[in-house]
Amino acid sequence: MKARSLAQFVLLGAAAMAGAAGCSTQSWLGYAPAARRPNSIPAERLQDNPRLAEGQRLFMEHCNQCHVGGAAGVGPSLNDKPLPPWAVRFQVRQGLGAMPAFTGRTLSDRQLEDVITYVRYLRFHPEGSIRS
Amino acid sequence: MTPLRHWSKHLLLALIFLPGLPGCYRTTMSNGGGQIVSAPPRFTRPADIWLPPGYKIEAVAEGLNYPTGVTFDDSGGVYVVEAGYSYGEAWATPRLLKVVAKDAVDVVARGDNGPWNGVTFHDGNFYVAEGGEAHGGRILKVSADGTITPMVENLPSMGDHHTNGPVIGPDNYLYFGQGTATNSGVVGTDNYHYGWLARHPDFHDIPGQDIVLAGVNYQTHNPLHPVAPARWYQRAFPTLFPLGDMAVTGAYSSFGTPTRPGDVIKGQVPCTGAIMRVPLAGGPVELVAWGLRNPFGLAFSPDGKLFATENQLDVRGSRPVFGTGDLLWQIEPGRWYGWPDYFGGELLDNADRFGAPGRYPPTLLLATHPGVPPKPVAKFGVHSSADGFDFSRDRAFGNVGDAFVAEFGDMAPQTGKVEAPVGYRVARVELDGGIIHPFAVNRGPRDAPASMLGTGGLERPVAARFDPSGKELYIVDFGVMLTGPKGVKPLEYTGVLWKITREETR
Repeated sequence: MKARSLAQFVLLGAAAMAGAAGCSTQSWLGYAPAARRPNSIPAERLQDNPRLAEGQRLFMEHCNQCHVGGAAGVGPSLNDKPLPPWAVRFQVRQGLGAMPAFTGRTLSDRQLEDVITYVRYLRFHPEGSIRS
Repeated sequence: MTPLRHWSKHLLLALIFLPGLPGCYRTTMSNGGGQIVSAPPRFTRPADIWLPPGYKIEAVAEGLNYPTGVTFDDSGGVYVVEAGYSYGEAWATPRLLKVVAKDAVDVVARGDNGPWNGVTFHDGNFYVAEGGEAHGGRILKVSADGTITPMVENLPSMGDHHTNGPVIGPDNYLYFGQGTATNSGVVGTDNYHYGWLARHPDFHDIPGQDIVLAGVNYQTHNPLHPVAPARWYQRAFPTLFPLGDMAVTGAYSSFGTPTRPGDVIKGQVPCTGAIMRVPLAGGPVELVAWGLRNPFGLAFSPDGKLFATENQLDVRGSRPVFGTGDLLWQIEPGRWYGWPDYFGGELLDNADRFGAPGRYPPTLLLATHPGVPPKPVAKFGVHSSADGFDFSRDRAFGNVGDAFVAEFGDMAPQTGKVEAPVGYRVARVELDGGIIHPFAVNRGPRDAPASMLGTGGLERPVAARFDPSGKELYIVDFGVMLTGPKGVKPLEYTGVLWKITREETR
């Protein structure tokens, strides 16, 4: 019973976290708190990591319009969210909130993993943000 | 805990989280870069602008009034055009100015039919794209002594978008853009609020070739026919209690004119939503490409190919469209680029993708499409307003072949809601892969105009152009424009001309 209850909580938590990606706190606050400022990734990093390069290309094609360089725009920022990859996958595939769903016809599983690699790079790597 | 109590707890959690998720976008506030109550006095401080290492920026001219373009004569003189008209129904005098010093200009020519949206110099003359919000667009040839000779007249430019450009091609033609009358093909009450529907109630979009309509119509209240003095509740809640009678309007038609399935709209040149050209020696206007909502920026790449930026659809009017970022196109002669039924090669009838939250999703307006649009080179942020741009040609500046694009910045909430300011910068675009990099952005916690950040940085970049040497990139900064639910308010004489150079060479 306990295991079942835990699983249900996890499921609800997943839905809530995925939703949080589409419902940023900054709009509720009425101002945009400091987030990471998008920066270019050095060419040598991309040459060393083709999947990161492919993730960047796919991000520019499918995601950049609403999350400009990983920062907020029409959609919330992605480069400062503590979302684990599975939550990103859930959000992308289900498209909760104003975000449309991206099916496997638009982004294959491998391509989605490349996008997640790129977004995590923007979040964790110092080169992914302008130090202004 | 009984199973019933146990499940009621989960039900409560589900009630808290899940229903709110799809609707939370609707309930949040917009945070556009112009959404401040008032702006501090404009000042410039180059240190407030971030650039990649090795580059520096300086203010070349200040106190300009709605500047939109820059060009250079054969002797190295720098010239700017001031629009003379801005969104927000701000009327001024369009001017061509020679920059003499940071706070001094010489007036070369004056107009009376703004906005002047861009200028180029070629073989001893200036060429100006006159938007003609009041009297229609023109292409003007301006001699060095300021004599103005119209090359093209009666362009359909009295609507939302105007005559833009121009650039001179390697074929000795002058290329220019002509924006559409409307947001998405249907004249509506948004056009009344923009100001032009009352001036030109018969104006509407014109296709470049014959089109067949699907017969989709939209009913709105009719602001042109108020029937009685407005009551307080009509002023307070115009949507609930419309002022005046109702109007039914179809695509490519005057306000209040419905259409039927199968109606044919004859194509014309000049048309709206197109790139056209005219021989420099004079001659008829020719259609280059169409189906482009607002092709604001035009530039030829170093290898002679024509590219254009296109301002994309807004969440406004009778047919609002959500989530369409501005585009960079390579222009192929004779091609149709998709407006009003496509975005970047995708049909707009995908409600999940293009339907604005809380609004009806867009319906296709054309029964048959003139072609299949190509894929764009790059996609910018939604509402970024990617405008004037140029290509790097000189190794000393670097990034040869990349496009440097001025992003004017969002006009939220009028054009749609944003969670954070979008644009207000200069971006570098790698054509291969459409990779967009920040190139000149304000320092601070977020991308935003200087007026919001309280700094001396960029406000609203509207054009970027290299000098003839290719070593200096000039940025035309339109100045402060405040935005809010009731409209936009540009602030006079807050424009700046910036210059970016590279301090070191590879």
